[in-house]
Amino acid sequence: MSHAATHDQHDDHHGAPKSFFQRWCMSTNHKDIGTLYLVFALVMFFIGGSFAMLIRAELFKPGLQLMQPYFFNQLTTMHALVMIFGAIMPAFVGLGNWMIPLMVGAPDMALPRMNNLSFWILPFAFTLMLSTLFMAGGGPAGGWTMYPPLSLQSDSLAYVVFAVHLMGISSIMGAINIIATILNMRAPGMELLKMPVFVWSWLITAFLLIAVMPVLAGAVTMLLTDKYFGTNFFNPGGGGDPVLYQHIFWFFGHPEVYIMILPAFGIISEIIPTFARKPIFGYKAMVFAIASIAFLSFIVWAHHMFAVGLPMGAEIFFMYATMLIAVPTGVKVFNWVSTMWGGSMTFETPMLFAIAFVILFTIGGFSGLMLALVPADFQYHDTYFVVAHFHYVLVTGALFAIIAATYYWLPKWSGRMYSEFWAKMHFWNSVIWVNVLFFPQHFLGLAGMPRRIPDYNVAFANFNMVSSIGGFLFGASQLIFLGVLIHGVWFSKKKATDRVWEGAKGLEWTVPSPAPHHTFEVPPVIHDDELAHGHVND
Amino acid sequence: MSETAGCLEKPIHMTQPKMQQPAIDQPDADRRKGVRRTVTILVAIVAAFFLVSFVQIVLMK
Repeated sequence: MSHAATHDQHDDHHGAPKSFFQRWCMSTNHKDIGTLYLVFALVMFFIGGSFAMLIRAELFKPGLQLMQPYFFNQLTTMHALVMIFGAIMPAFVGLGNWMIPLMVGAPDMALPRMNNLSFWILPFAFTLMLSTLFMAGGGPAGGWTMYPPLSLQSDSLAYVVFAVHLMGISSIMGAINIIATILNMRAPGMELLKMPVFVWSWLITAFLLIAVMPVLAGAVTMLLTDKYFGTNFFNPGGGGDPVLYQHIFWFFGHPEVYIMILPAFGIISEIIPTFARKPIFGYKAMVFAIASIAFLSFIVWAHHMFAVGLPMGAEIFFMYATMLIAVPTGVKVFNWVSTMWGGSMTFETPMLFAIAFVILFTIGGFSGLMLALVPADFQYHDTYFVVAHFHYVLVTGALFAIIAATYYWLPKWSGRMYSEFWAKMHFWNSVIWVNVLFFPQHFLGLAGMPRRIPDYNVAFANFNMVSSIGGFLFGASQLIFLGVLIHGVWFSKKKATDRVWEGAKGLEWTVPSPAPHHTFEVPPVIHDDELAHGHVND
Repeated sequence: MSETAGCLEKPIHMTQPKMQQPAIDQPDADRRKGVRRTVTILVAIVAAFFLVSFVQIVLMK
């Protein structure tokens, strides 16, 4: 592997600041800020996960076991808000921060100081939001969608709205930074259609963020003015309409779903070629499929609202538009499988999680197709079938991709190899228990169990008990992940090589492991052979 | 003056081996200009979205 020509051996001529405060609070370095995002996401993942454990403990048996219904509603609301805005999104931003400059040969993000601000807004936003749990009126309890009039009854609405505004500002700044970096900071020779798919997926995701976060800000501001300033946007008594909120929210909410899955597509498109030792099948098709999915995400929002009484024409339009998303998604799944076909495959932990992603995300996709059917959705709407569907997409989809990416790039970050044995233990425990946790919820939903309830009919008892056992063990499995991370970052004796994985291609593998504090201060000389997609235009 | 300098220094791309890209073909100033232009456009888009939301709130009230 001759890659010396692409690496400037003198990159690390000045290291990280020595003082803890200078390094982590004042950092403008994309790697340090990426690390901050990832650590923040991990902390939020365990906080949101502890809420999930409480939810599953309450649902272990019929009847009220541990808490009052209002607190249960707070837990479901907070679990979603923390996991979506605190864990999944910051984890992807952290991965983007770490890897995008390395992948395109840039010395840092285009706007390093704004990068620092984008991150440091988040801990304040989440402290504000989580603090409501300790207040007299309790936290938000109207669901993460914050539908009026239910959400307007909460005393903590103003706190949550302010926290959402802060998260939105952070996301918009992060998105602007990523677009500016990708469009302007690429090394010479890194043409757009030679960029790694992960970089493409983030470029498209960043445009989605810019388009929809202001819409969310507008929607929650209207909630605030309805509650405190005498407006009646969503109050029928004053001439308003609560369905208007649902339209505005889901115009944000559906692209938001893709904001949480498109970077995952990019990650899987990096990992599978590495461990199949083949270039990705259909690179351009993969890029255009991501762009198509992003476009379609703007014209399907009302499939979340089939049950509110939309005109028939609208329901049919949104049904077909939703089903259309299966086409580019199918292209991606086909291409991942085709990349593996005939490849010289090995099954290290990142690859195991990637394969699990392809299979289990597809299950989530299929249940999504079922939900897209208007007549069927009338039965499935607001049942556990929906809960099962979006957890297959977000846990075995987005979260598994984040875990796969962590194992894939951790040796590059820390310079040490993690324990493959314990990582595989983490994988097999996760993949078994996550299915025990969520698969029975399909049956519960089809049998009619509504979501967001602390108590239920005894007819649903068995599947709920199985689901809760799966939940506890899936939660416990993540402690193995934590152990593997701590060992892999600080204690592992096995040093990582620069390229780490035999089949890995791309600029990020041409720098030493661990990646020096400063990289590519002189733009690298790019050989097409070094790039995973260097010969795409040949 | 500039002609003399041009004779003494070959353009960067002529000194590179055939299969390599020139090490620096976009000066820092161009990059900074590009970043500024990108950020201006994106901020304008975000501001427009916020403004539309605000106008919507005011008009509907």
